[in-house]
Amino acid sequence: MESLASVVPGGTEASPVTLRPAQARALAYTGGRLAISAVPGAGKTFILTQLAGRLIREVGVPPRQILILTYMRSAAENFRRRIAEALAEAGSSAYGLQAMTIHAFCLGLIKQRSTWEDPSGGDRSAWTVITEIEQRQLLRAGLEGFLASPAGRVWLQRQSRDPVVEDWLKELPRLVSLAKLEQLAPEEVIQRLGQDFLPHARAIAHYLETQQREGLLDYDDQVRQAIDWLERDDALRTRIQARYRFVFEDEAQDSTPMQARLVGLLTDPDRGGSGNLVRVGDSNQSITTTFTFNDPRFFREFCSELETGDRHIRMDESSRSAPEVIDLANDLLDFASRGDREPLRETFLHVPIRKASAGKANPVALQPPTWTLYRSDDEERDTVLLAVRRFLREHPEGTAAVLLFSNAAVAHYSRVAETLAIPMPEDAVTTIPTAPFLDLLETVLALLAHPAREADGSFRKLCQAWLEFRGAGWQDRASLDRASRAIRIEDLVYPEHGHPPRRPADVPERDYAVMLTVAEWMRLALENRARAIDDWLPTLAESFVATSDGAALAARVLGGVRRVMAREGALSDNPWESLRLHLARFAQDAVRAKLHTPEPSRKIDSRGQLRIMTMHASKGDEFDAVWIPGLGPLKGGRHHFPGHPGQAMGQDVSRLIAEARLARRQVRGVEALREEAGWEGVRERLRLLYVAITRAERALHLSGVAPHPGALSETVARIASTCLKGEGP
Amino acid sequence: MQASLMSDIASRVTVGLPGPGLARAAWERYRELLASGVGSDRILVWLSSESRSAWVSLLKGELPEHIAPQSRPEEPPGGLERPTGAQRVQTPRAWIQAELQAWWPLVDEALDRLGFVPARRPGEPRHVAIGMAQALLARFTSDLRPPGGTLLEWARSPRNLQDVQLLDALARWIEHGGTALAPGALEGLERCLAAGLPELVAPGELRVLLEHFVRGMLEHRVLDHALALDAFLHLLAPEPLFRQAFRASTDHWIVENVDDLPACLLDWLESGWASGITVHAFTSGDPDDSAPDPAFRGGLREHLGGDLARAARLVSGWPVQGVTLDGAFPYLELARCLHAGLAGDAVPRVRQVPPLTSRMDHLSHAQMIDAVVPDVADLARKGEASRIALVVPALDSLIIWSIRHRFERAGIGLHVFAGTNRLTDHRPVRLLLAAARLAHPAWGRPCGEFERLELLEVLTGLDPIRLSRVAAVLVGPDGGLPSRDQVLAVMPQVDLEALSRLDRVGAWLTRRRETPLHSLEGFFREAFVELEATRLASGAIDEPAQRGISQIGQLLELARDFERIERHLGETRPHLIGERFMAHLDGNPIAERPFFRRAPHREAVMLATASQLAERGFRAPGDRLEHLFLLDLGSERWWKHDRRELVHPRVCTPAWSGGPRTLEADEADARVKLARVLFASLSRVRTHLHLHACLTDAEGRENLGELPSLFERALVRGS
Repeated sequence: MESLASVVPGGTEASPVTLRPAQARALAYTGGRLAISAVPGAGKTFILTQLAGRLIREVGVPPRQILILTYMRSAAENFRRRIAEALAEAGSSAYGLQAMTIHAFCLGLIKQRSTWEDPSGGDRSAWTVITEIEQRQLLRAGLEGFLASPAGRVWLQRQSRDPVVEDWLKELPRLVSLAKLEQLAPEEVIQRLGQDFLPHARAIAHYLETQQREGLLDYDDQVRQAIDWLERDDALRTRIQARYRFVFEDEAQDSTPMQARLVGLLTDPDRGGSGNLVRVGDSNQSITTTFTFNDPRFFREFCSELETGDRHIRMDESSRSAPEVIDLANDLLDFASRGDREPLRETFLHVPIRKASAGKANPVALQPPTWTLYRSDDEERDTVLLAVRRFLREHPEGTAAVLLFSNAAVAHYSRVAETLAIPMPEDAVTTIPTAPFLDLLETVLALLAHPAREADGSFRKLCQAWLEFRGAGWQDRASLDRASRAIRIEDLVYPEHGHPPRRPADVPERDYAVMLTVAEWMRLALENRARAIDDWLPTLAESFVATSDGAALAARVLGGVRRVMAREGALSDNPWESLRLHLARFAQDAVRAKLHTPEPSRKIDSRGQLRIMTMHASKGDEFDAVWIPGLGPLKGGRHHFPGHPGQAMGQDVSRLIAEARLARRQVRGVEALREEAGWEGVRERLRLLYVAITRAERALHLSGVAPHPGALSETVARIASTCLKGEGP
Repeated sequence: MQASLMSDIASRVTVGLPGPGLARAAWERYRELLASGVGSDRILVWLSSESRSAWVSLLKGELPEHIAPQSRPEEPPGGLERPTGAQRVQTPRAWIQAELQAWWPLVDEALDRLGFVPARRPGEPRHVAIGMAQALLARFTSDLRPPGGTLLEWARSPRNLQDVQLLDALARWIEHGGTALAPGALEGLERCLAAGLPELVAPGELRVLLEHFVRGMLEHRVLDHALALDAFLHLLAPEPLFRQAFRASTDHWIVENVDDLPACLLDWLESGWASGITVHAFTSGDPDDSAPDPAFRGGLREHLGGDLARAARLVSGWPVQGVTLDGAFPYLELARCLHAGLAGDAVPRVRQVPPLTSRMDHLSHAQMIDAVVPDVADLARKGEASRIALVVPALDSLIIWSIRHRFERAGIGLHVFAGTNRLTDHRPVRLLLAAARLAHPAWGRPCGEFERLELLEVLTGLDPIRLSRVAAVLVGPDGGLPSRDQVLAVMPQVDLEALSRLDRVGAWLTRRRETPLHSLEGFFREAFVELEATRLASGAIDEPAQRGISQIGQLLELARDFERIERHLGETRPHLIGERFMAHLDGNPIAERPFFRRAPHREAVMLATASQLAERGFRAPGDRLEHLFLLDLGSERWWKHDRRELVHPRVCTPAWSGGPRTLEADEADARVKLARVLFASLSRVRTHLHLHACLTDAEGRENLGELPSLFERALVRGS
């Protein structure tokens, strides 16, 4: 054990870190398959970091032979950094060790197999990775193409219904993913979906065919294509298996069937692999099952397989939370696993969290978990935030978090917290709203294409957008109308003799200054027509939106639009008009998509500050005090707890039926589908709640809004009663 | 033959760090030879094109600082003895072209004998560069690749990139000793492709296309680089007359960058051709004090036909001379460690950590660039801009742009060796093309309203909003430019000068429409004079204007080459040449070369890839690279793989017998390639090294490269 201490960050020969029994067993690993199921706070990252370090330092495994696969970029970066630091402290190097997300691994493999250097110095590939937006564009093209065809018109007549293209487009990406998961050829998709879903089927078939013809890869394909090559190309598989003799998979409960196959292929001894596979996870923290094809079943099966060989280690001791918080989390496990609601029994694996028996001790609770019922959302929000402010004043070095179900709630709480002057870490990523940004670019292109026709309209739109991007408004709402009546736009944009027209008396000075600035900006844009658009639009866009992300975003949009242009050709002799038309198509499908690529997040040092985040985002974090508001009987399917099972509505049902057909699942009827979807939502929300509760170290405050306690769902009522018991009479 | 060269004790090899020292050593050798009384007409010099430009300046009496950093001496430049007779300072390619030209009747006859009989004998051969070769490939294989597609329709890369790959395959085949001249010769290439790239769908299709290309080219006596090499080695070099004449005229042969010579030329040299001639070979290497022999570190162009191993074999046994370095190179040891780490298994650690800035933890590419800009700006303020190089793993428009626009804001000039846009996306070129459409409506589609208004905007100086408002009435009777009266009727504010410009251009367009076209290039020259020259003459030649001139220069060169080839191919109908040229521009994304035939117009920081810096050198006064910024070190794009969809340079060689090309071999090649370019880049840095890495690339994808940990390993983390 002492020898291990030398590779532990903070653990030196002089002060060795004491390991818990399960941790010590995990660290004794030298090869073969191993499953580690770890409760929240059991030290998964710590143990994988140490294991990699020990294999390198003591077993003599070259770092190049270790591959750590994660599901989050931040986790991959965390592993890389921690292992490198630990080994550097011990005078060793991690050069060659790879820690990356599964998708990055697959994309790297694809690029490596088919990338070359092109004469201009860049890299080209026979494969193009397309964005979500381009996927939607292709699906739209397939859908609209079918509906415009004779077959499509006949179908519409027979169905006697109007096309609801936008609704169908929402359903299609998930169906495409499923078709890929099932490895269906275009004709099989059509066959399985049947006549009711003919537009869907034809759109998917068109998409799959275009992908194949043009070598386009979407997000799902990255893993699928990598698996395909690893299965078919013995030389490639052998090479990868020879390179990576040890594969660790973090958060293994989030595996999809594809990803489970991938790690199997990398290590399967029957296919030439080393057999050295360590999978670490906690199926009780599986919180993405309703919107992805991730399924904790695969990790559970892996654990069961290894049960008999004593290769399944349960790390069920946790030193993160105070005993009272652990008790509450265990009570939730009990309620779901042993309660009388049959569909809930498979929510969790019944592995209660135990207090740490060795090493770091569990913290002492500041107070037992509390439950409060409020009469309104506003009352709940204000009281919670004032309590947080009090806590941070009393504990200036403490960390606090409010964990919520939705991004909308996060935005709302954040705004109020700001007005209450509660210290919060600055958001590292500035977000630019997609729709207004694309509208801005389209406006500029329209102006460039038809300067006279679009001048007035563009000027109005740009003035408005200028203010909105700065969160400002007109001093006088009628300023623009008055100015437009008094001054011609060309006199503003191109002032005669260099002097802008005199400000109309009824236009406030501040408003006129905005107009002059925008006019000057328009002149710059018009002058820049002499140059290729890539050379200037990003810079100009950045100056317009006043954030440094604007330029990158514009460049990314232009790149996407140009790819489509290359595929479809120019739409007009006027180059600006052609770009505008393509951008308009792009924008149509980009509004709902994220244009930003999220940057890898690092653990923020938030001592003395409040973090407001979704429960999903909180995974991996821990805080001294946690508030979980919003546990009342909220409206809407996704927010329901047991007792109020969520209902899959309208188009959801249609999607569920299509999914069932694609996957050839037996369904007893629409009602059964709805119910099953509702229960799956409930199960995931229980796991989310479990994750949120276990983020708390020393204080936990839960609350909800309801007219009276009887209106609460069963789960919340149970949690409330446990808390109230702890609070005593 | 080896023995004969060995016996010639005068032949020698000089090894030096890549950079100015080696270039200067070659020049000094030339001077010494001249000073010793050898006539310049007796010395054949093979140089890279960069060095050749510098030598030409030196021979004219100018002193490019990077070769001769001293101030201009009173004596003739560099002590050069003059006059010495004809100078034979050329790139190998230019020398081969000149020899083929000079001895053409012999080659012409040989081609006839091989069955490449021209339909009409065009006289001398035409040499074309890659762009024109692509156009000719498309032309000669158009019957095989109609729009519906019969051959290569399964390929995913766009047509123009398919063509590049086909030409590359042929070039590598010839450079490695193959030939395309004998009947059925390309079957060997097909076999190599089939054996080396088992996943390639139809290597036979590549062969068929190349055979059509070769036949078309040779029957029309058009030679691209590869075919010129083939014709030289297999048709001209074996001629006793040529051999005799060469030996009689040459005593010394200076060969710069011998490691970059195509393998077939190295074989040719080794086969006894240079017997009796003193060869002075120069190659990049590492004259390590602690090692008995300097190590060869060249081979930067192996993917383009170079062969380091053969070069080493050629000069083995020759006396070796190291180049003495001026000043200190503090990063040489680090460059050695990295080279060893990438090319081998172990990563040695530096004995002493040189001064460096290391920031490997930027979250995003944008944050990294934001952090770099102030450092560069500080140095630029101190007058160091042109002594700074920024090296990135790959140059694409997003990266170039993300750096350029920040530098523009900070007032820093940027010199980058890559175009980011199509040539035709720029207004100066668009205007000439619009003029062509107005003057010659038969050249494809007529001039559109947008183009007409853009032309008017430039000619009249009117703003686009006011101009567009009256667009409908500003059309000439023939659909062209409006008359002076039409303009004055709606835009009385137009000045007289603009009106006379409009009149002049209108008259010129009318003349052009009525007069037969004699020359495509001539037309564009005239158009340039009419549309731009007066305006440029009256205004300051600022950066945009310079760039515009450069773009037009590129268009003129394209037009000239295109027209020459068309005429060479027998096309005499000017309107057809014009139509084809416009279609050529529409169909091929010809990138703008931003620094086409000119140096950066002001003090500028160089942005390049590592291979560009290594191969092209550093264009600064004295070639002193003081500050090197290695950006985006975490990217895996530093490793360059030569495998392409249709070809692989390594298997396109007659010597290939290794069966399927494995990915391990590719990976090893990529590591060696990176080791070489990093050595060449780092070893020349004088003052400071700046290392930057970020977690995501410019497109936001996760970075997976191992260079950060390699550097950390070599530098000892934390030191």
